[in-house]
Amino acid sequence: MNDELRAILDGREREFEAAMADRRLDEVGERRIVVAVRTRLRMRRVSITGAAAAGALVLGVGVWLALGSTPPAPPASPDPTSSVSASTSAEPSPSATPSVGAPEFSSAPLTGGDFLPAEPMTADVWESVDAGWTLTVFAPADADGMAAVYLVDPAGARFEVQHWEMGANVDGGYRVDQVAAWEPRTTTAIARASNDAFTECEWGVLDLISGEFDPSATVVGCSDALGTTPDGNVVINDSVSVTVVDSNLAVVDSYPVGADSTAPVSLSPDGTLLLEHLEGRAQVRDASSGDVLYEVDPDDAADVVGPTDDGPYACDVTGWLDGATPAVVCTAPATISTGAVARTWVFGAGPDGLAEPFGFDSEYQFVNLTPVPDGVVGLGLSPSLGTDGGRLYLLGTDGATPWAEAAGVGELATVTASGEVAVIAWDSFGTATGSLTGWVPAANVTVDVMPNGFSDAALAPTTRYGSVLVGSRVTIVPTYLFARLQ
Amino acid sequence: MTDWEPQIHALVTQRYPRLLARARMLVVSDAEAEDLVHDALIATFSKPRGFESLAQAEQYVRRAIVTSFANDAGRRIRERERWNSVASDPVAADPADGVNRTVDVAVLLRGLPPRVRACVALRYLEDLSIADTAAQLGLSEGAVKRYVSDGLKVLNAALGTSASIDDSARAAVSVRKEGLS
Repeated sequence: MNDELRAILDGREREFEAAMADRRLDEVGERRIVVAVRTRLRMRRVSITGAAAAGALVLGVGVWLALGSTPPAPPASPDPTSSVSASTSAEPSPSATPSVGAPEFSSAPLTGGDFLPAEPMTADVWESVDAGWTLTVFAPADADGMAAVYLVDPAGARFEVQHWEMGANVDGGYRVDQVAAWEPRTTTAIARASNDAFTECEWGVLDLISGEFDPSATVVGCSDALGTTPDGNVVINDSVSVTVVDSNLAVVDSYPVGADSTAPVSLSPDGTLLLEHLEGRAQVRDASSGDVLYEVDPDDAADVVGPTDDGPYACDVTGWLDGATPAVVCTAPATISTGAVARTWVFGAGPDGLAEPFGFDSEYQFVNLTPVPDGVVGLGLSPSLGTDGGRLYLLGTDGATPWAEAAGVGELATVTASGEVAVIAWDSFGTATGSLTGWVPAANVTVDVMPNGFSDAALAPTTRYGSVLVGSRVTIVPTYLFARLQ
Repeated sequence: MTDWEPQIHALVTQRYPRLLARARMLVVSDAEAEDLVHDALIATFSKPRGFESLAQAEQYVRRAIVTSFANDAGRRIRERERWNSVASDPVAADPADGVNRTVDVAVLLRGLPPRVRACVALRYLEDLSIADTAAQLGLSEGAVKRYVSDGLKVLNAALGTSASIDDSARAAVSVRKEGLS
């Protein structure tokens, strides 16, 4: 009796099976399932082992103390994926943030579409992450929500840490568009997620392995991370205030700023100072406390260089000459009005006033000076062509301009510097829309940091920012995926 | 890679059409079937199961497909709305017509209320007993009997079969008890 019904049902199911015999789940779909399972297992494991983990943390600190070493700073949040693996040395790492074990890296980096070739992360590489590395999350628009986390070494080699489905972990289908702070060998980062229109944003702690995004209740809105202070706190700026938060996004300090709309506040490359542009002058603050340290009046620089036959120099505070010295650039009026070649002067501005300037001849007006190992990089803007006619220059402090990018430069996008290596990336109008070019001063070569073919939608804003180590600490600069240098 | 990842990979590369077919018996479109299979895979492997074979894992997922379907109220509502929009579908053949072997049993099945559908699927596609069906769906045995009875009335009338609720089930999957490994 019932067998007859079963046979009918079985037969119909087999018909469906036959009709769909060629159906296969693609790699992205499978990864999505795996990531979802991994996330649930991790959450389950956390709830089961929470008490045990607390005990293990105490034990871990005890071991470090017994070894006579500085105990490692606790991660931003418990990392349930970390486990003591065979690759973990019994000796504490000499690094500032010793590892407690390699996390679960992806075994096969995402390929195809806009995803760039990358090598799988290994425990050895993970342990070697140090100055000059960049962390970035890449989520191209056509990847069906998949995002990949890359660590990029100073030479541009990419290693995929993990990939996951962005939408499954970030509310509202937001994308992680800025990774603001991260410590080497830890699996969490402070990040911002936004909708595609960039009208709504959330700050939170991003788990690099699972893609889980824990939104902050204290830092909200589409504010920008300017960088990190030497003690690892993140400096976040909206249009009217600066908020300093720790690695858990707890507010350490907050103070109002009054930057004008044409020159946003900027954090010094070493993370100690904040440059605030007011009407006609600039104010230098302690980035952590907001205390005003000194003011820079660019008219003082104009007084030093004196007037030209065409009138007084126009001087502005724009960028940094070194880790903590604001730059004042003075441009001749003839250059500004007609594009005539004239002397440009550059000053460093400190609490004791202006330093001795250096000068060079140019028909460009320079802005956004950024220190690199061999000097200063500045964006030269053509007065007649504006940003479309900009050029990127390396300015030697002896007044030489040993290098300039010949192609049109849209915007000085980023400078990442570490030791003898700096990579500079900028929008280049000389190549395909959305492509970016980078330059490594140490090698004096230009490289494509994004291959041609990226649409603007795929490029922005998901990959434009990342964290990079400068010296021995983490700072934040907008950065890009670098092509491997051959 | 963990031990469950190869199992998922094997299922989606070797058993995917079968899993889709099970889901397709319950929902009205291929896309919904795919969603259902994915949900079931995630639900299955989100707890340590200790499957000893691919067949065992597949069987578990096939049942999880039915469970996920029954548990997903949102999907039920959406599907019901879609179902109502195609109410003129020939599925709705008049049971009074007597034996109608040309009726698509899948369409008939999908015309049943979700819980009835899930109970019938587990009982007659998975051959679970009333007790096991109740355990699988988190229902009382009495409720399962009622749902199965309701379903059989429609199916028997449309198909000309004479299935009864009293028939014993034939198989049961054995899965290791959940552990922490």
